Amino acid sequence: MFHSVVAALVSLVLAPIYDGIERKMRAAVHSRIGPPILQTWYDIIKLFTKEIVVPLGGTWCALATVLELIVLASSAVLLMFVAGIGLSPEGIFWVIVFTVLVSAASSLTILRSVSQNNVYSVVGGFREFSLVLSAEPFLIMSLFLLASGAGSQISRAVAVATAIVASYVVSGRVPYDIAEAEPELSAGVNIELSGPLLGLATVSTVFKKFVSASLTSLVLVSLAGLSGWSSLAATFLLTPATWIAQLILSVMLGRSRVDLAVKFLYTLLFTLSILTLLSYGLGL
Amino acid sequence: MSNLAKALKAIRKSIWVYHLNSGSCNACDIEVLDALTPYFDVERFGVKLVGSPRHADVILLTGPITRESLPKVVRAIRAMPRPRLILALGSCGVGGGIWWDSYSTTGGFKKLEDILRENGVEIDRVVYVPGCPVRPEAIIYGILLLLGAVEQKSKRVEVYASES
Repeated sequence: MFHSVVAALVSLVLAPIYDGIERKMRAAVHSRIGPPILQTWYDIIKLFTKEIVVPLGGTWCALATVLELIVLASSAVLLMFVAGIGLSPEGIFWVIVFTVLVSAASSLTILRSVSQNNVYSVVGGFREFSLVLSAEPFLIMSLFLLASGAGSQISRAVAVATAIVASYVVSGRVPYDIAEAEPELSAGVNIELSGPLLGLATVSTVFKKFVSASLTSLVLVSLAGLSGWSSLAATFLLTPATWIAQLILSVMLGRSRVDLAVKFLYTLLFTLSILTLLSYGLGL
Repeated sequence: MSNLAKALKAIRKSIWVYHLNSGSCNACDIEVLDALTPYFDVERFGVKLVGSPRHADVILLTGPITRESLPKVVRAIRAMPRPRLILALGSCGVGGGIWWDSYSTTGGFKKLEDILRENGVEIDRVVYVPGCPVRPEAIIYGILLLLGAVEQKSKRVEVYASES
């Protein structure tokens, strides 16, 4: 447990640096120099020095923002704890708790957005809701199947594919950044936040990316059949590589129409889930 | 070190800008977008374009502030958290340009500043970047000048037009 907590805390400190590396690599794709690797840390530190303009509905908004950060940090620690056990029947209880925490973080994002008295924020909240409905049930199902140890190699492989796609959606990258949607919703769910409150929301966004990358790493590690120390170390070391892989995918995917992005996601995950259940049911 | 100097030091490595068009002919706006393209790569200085004035450190103000846009401009600047930094861009943003005495415009930032003061909106620092349209290099230089990262090259010279 102690090692998992240390690994999670080190990872959470490193997460903004991974984000900085992502921004640097994105700049390299555009043939430009780009910001320093510590840029995300600079942004966060700056936001905590700024004045806070409390939005209308500020109490609920502030409460949801703080709780979301706590829940995401807890889910990151729990994920490392699960990595220390491995995705196996021994850790199934913690996998369930982890999925509850991830869903709670999404619910708090929705609460944060609808508590602000701003149309763009509310629209962003509903978009987040549609993403949660499209991705998280499938994520929970695939993780549960993988952790239970049931099913054949084929059904497990399809469950891994489902978990990877769903965890990419959790990361909030293009085209599934529609809740914030900088160009059209003017930051959507974050539009009314300022100063330290926006700083907390920025940290939450980075943590969400970290949870997504770690979860993908853990799922891949579980395919190799690792458990215990080796599983924890492999997940920890694989996380930056997964983060970069998700970045490359987001650059390749580009933006999509709001309704099409969600429809495609739902169709894809639904098909994968049906395939998983069929292969499990038929014992393939 | 004063509070403003401390705040500016904190912002220097992470400058989030909000583009506010107050009735510009769009020439300066095109140059603002140009300054934000990969060619000039302002992200290397930590500059990022944001969509909400609540997130902004610097407002890039273009246009002569038409009567129609004035209430929206005041609201956008009021929504910005302190310190409020403004970069008045182009001939129109600086002094109203050829519309300086038109009935339908406020006539540049100097007059807007008085209106903001009357409405209880404090501005912490302003830098004027003239040009018609303003050059992207001048915009980048203006941002760095606003935050005290570079020294001002020219001295202030006040010129008044005679009535005769």
